[in-house]
Amino acid sequence: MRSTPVATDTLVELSGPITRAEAPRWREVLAEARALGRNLRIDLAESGPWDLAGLQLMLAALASCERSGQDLAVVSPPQVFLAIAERAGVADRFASRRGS
Amino acid sequence: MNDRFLSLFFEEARELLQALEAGLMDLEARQEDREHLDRTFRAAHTLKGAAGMVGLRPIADFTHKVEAVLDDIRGGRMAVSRDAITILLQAKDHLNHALDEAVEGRTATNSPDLEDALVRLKLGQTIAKSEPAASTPEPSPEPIAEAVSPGRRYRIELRPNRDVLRKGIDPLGFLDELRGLGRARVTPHLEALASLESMDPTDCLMGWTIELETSASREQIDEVFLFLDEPGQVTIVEEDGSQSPAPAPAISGPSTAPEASRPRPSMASPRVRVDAEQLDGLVGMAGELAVLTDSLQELAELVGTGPMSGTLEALERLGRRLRDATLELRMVPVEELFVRFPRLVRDLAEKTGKRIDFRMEGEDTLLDRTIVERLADPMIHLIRNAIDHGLEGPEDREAKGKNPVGRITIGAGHEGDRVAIRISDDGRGLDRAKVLKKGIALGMLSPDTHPEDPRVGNLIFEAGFSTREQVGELSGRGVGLDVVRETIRGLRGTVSLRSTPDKGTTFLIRLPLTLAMIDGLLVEVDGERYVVPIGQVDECMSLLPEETVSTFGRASAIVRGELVPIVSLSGRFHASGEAQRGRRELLLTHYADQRVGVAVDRLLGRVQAVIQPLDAGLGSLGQFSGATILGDGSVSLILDLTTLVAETHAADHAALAEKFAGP
Repeated sequence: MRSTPVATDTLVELSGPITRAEAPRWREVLAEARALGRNLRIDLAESGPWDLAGLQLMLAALASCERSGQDLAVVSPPQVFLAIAERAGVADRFASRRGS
Repeated sequence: MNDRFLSLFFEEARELLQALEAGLMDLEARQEDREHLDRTFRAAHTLKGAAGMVGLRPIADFTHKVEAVLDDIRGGRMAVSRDAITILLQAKDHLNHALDEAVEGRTATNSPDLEDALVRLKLGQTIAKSEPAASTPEPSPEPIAEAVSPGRRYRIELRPNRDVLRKGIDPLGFLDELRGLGRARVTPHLEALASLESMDPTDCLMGWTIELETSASREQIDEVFLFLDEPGQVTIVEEDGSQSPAPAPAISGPSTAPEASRPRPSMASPRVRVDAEQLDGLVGMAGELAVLTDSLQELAELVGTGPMSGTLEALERLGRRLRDATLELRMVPVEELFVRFPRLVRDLAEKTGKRIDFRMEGEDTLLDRTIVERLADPMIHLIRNAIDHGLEGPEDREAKGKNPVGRITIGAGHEGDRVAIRISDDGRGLDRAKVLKKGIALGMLSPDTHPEDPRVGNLIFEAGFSTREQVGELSGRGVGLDVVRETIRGLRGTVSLRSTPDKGTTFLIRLPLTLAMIDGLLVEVDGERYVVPIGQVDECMSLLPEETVSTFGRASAIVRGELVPIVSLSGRFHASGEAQRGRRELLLTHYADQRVGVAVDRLLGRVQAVIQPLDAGLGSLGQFSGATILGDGSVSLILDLTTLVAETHAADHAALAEKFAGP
């Protein structure tokens, strides 16, 4: 896991399982990154498996960023993330947030 | 996923698969029995739900296909055929295999052929028996749900409680299942996910509205939410049906549906699962308490107890009750062992082309859990043996004037302190002449052995012995019956056979009720103390030298006018010990419906013995079934009178035969 300010963005890399057991820790990481006030780029390339707790984390990060006017981009989402978003009926929320 | 959840799932999944198999085996005969169909369906449904909950999606998805077929059968939309049952049984086997893989942490291997077969079954295209599934044309294995033409429309509001994730429930599994029932439009509700900073991600903060177009029944939709065990989390409204829309009550609340249509997860059962090792520990402690109590009693006899005698007696009584109660916890009905055999017989009947009427009796007989677990392989072997060697083919049977359908019966029941299990067939019986000939050729029997000599029958339990010239797929390799005997001996049991030409063969397995401890009689022979299981003794009596007579060189006693042969332990264990003796004690037991007396020097009293296994050396001597530590700390061997008497009987028979054969 790494949280790096890059120019106007803060890059956060989530790696490994993003499930109920780890979600509280990742929530803190994301909250700290968001507190920097910059746009967030969340790199999911090395993340997985995912469950609903992890997905909720991403949805809450998205909602919080939208409310505070920060941009949130999801980088390299793995298939397992896209699949769970699809199952939960929220795939469209991330479709327009894909970054590089 | 928490390891404990997973291990509970694996345990429950095995039971569900067993229930599924038992249900499938009876499906053909009971396709009008709604309760049976519901029970079978529920086994698959619960497995699917539980697998989904622990994240084993491949198992959940595959089980869903099995469930869909069973649902059609239950709904009267599909007739049960033998082929359908074969496919469903294969699917159950696949699930068993997938579970094995999951236990080892591997991803379950797919079985596209079987999935295809299930889809075809669902679509009413049962594969012909002789046609291998792999070679069938390639109709796209459509998802089962899409094969169902949509009919009614439902609006489902799913608002799981916040703690469902912590309970191991995955609401996404419900959405998956609803999609499997028809066309589902899912709208998420994310209002509770407004703030990253204040959220607890382990809470379930999402909700969903699902508009479902399906031909599935309301009951099927209700069953999707089986695992939401608290009310108020789901409402279901039929949108354009004739019924006036009304919010569904709590989906799995106990009052929403009759029990028969409302399967409950096993977690609602009043039973408690206990770790087997913990249970064994408890049994061990109860045993140690019993030994200590005996020790106290012995001390009391030495020094006198005075006012403590009443307390000591109460302690002893309580110790015995505790021991019995803990022993009962180890007992399970042999049904848990028998339940796998109908399937085995069905498969073997198909393989051999034999027609078999398979019966089971005494399934509720209780037996030590360890024995039940370890008895499976020997029994499978004996049943295979009965089908392969025992039963004739239908034509042969008809030619002999027998029913073309052969019968195999397995039964269990109590015999004193032992459980007897028998495996009987009404086949051709043991060909004693052939066994004898082979035994002589192998040098295992002397050429003058009579065919009725008990050693002839016992020869089939010897390693490497087989009369079968052609090795069969099922048995006949000369490997097995010796292993059967060794396994049963390892359980402190015996196996014997009775056979009548053209009437059949019965294998009789006698086993102790428990492997943990016994009530015993402490006896003395030549200064050594031994424990005899009390259940093996019918009666004790004193024996004076003048009360014995000699017949064919063997001592016998006259007991109430009956001549009872005597086995002297002194004569058996100590070559020089059978000197002229005074009064002895005779333990009356029985062997092959005949009374036999076992003579010992002294009867010392009653003991509770915690059984310790013997090492390989002594353990191979069947007459000792274990050892125990007595109240004074000394070690004593536990005698198995049944084996002792049987071995003496066989030795006497051989000696007599030799004597009369002459030089």
